[in-house]
Amino acid sequence: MLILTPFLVGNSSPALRVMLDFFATPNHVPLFVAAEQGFFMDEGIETDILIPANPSDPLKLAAARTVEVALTPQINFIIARSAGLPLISIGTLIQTPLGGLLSLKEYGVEKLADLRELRIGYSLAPLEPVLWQTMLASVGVTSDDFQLVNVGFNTVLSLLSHSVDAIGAFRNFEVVQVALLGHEPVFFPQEDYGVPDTCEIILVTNPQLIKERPETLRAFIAGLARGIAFTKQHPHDALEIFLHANPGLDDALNRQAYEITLPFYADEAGNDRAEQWEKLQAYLFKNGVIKDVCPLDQLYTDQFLTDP
Amino acid sequence: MARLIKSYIATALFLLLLLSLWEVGVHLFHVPFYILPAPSRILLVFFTSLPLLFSHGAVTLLEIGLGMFLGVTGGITLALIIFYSPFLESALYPLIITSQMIPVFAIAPLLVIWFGYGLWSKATVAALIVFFPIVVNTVDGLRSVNSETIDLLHSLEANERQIFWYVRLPASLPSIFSGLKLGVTLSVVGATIGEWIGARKGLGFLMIQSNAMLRIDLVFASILTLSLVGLLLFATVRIIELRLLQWRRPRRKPKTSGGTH
Amino acid sequence: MNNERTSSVTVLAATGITKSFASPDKTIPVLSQVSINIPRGDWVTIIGPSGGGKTTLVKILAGILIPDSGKIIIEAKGEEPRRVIAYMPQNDSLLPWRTSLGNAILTSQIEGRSRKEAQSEARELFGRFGLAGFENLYPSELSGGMRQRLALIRTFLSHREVLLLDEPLGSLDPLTRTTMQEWLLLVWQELGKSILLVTHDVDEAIFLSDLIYLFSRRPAHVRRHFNIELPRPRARTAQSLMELKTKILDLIHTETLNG
Repeated sequence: MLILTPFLVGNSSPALRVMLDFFATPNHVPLFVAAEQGFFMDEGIETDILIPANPSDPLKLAAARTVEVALTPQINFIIARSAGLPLISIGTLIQTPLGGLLSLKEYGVEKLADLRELRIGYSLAPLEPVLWQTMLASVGVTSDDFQLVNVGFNTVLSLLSHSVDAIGAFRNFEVVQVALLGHEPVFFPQEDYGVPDTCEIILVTNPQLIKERPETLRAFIAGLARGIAFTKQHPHDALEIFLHANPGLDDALNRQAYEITLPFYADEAGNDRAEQWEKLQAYLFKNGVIKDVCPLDQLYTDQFLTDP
Repeated sequence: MARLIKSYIATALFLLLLLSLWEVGVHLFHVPFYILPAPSRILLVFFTSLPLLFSHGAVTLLEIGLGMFLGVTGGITLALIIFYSPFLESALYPLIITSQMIPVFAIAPLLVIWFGYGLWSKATVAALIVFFPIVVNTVDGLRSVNSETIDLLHSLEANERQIFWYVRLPASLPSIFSGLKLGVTLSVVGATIGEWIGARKGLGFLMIQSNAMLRIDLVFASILTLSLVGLLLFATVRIIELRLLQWRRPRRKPKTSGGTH
Repeated sequence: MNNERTSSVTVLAATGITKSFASPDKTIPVLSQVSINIPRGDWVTIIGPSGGGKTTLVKILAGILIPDSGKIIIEAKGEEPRRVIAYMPQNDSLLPWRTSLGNAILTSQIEGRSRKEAQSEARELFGRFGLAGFENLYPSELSGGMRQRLALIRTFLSHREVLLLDEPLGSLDPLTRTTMQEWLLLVWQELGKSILLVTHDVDEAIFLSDLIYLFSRRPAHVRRHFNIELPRPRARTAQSLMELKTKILDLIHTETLNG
């Protein structure tokens, strides 16, 4: 595993190594489009897209400079900053939240408050319990009135086997999954129920890299912006390009997920949402997910805005 | 006794050397703390998080105990079946070996459906990993019995039950203990992996959560705790072994003949 | 001390024993029409070349192997026939995890006697056999000679009349071996058993036996038998013994040449 190569810290290779947040999904279409269509090349850089072995790798490896850029959810990034990892956000790929709570119609859940007395399955503590508790509190259900069950990584399975009545899920993934399996999903977006707005996928790097190779990073963000633009203008072609690069993903799940994801790609590939950062960090701090707050200029930089 | 103390001191010195190299290494090579923390940092977190580690450790220990119990009783039973029935042996052995090839995450969903997210799914994973060395070692032990001794007992018209209790079982104990020592170390791994499938408490659970929260020092403190648990279990088995198998350590050299009358 | 033969009743007889072993490619005949008698209270020895089926015969007499043909007649005196014969295998088969005392009482325990009873009996024999004080030692802590004595104690404790001893002294050095032979003699005379001994050692045979059977090579049959009427204790170098030894050795020699 790349984690065992601490001696490579500080090594820079010609191609820009970009690590996804986890396995490739339609969330990443613009990135692949930019790579395949030569948008990065046009900006003068080569990119190498990498897939992590597990979801906490991208942040560690970007901080250790084993990769140059990592994709990550905004919340996870803030947690990493609070843990002291040297990182800074340079751009945005998905500008909306994707998470929320998913239940099935057949379990008799129609509105969120119906989850009273029921069980919610989650994978990651302490983050997920905080999110779901916030959501339920917003409809008047306190944490005494429902159960939180850690179901490991098999969230969909636990939902379908009714070991739990709802799970934390993504609106463009698990929701599609259960629908394809013949069930009727009932989804509650987290931002509708008291969870602050977040960007589901941002791009981060080690601040040292900004000092050393600002032009490379600018080129990268510029290329990504073109990839996003192309995707929005030619969605069908963009999908085909993505599937061509990832042949194993050509199935109903990914095709349908893509349709849902289209409106979520960032309008601005750079990063400048001061208010959003502040609110989100304050929320995490208040709920004990992070132990301290960072000044905003240590969280993100807006120097790579493509459209200032 | 003096030799025992000497060996403990040697181990301690060795350990100290390793830890020093580690400590110096991470500083010298600028290894980030979120990749590989220095031993000093790990120890600090370990001691400040003792209550947390203890409470999670207790859960994992319980799972291990249960898993060992299931794995050992199942394993010995299976070994007896294999030993006494050549037909079942040829039928079952390939299946047993195949069972070890299946990665846990593949059967994890099944285990969760059958046993839920509580103690039993972890104990089952531990048991599955443990029973294999137990079966193999117990069968080998049963087979190692001197055939002339068996002849002797046959000449006394001993029945199979007597032969088993007087000869086969005591003769197999050394092998069974080899299996137990292997098993107990593996059971630690097993319980941990079981917790990765889905858990509410336990050191494996703590490791995953800490990793997700990028508290790598806590991950390593959990690993340290697991190692201590493993050592404790191994030592326990070893102590029991020494008591039961006293005869393996001759207290003095063979005496010469005491003279005839 | 003289040895008075109490009777010439045969306590154990084998008639026409034949036995072959099947191996993957062929059948190996081991015993061919072997017949021997063991008179009550006598010392009978079988001498023969290695691999010559002597152990096979002993195992058949002990009931561990079944002959292909032939009969075994046991003069049981009202006892269950099998309970008359005690078998001592070639290696001492002592259980390493039991103390000496524990090993000694093994046969008694299997036969169902209480541990206390067996232990007190064993202790007495320990005394008589010169092992007093060694009851709590493990076999690994005993010398070769002592282990053989322990195995013999175990055999004697089975209270059986006929003892089948398969090369009990084979693993001992010559000095210990001669000492043990004298000791065995004394014990036999004291306890009055009937003994069938298997050995390679001609000196041993002629020193100890009332009756010697000389076996041929495989497939084994009885070539000759020799009655020895000399009183005991015998001088090992007595002329009559030396003549007998020469005769036996010649016979063995000629077979080797011709076979």
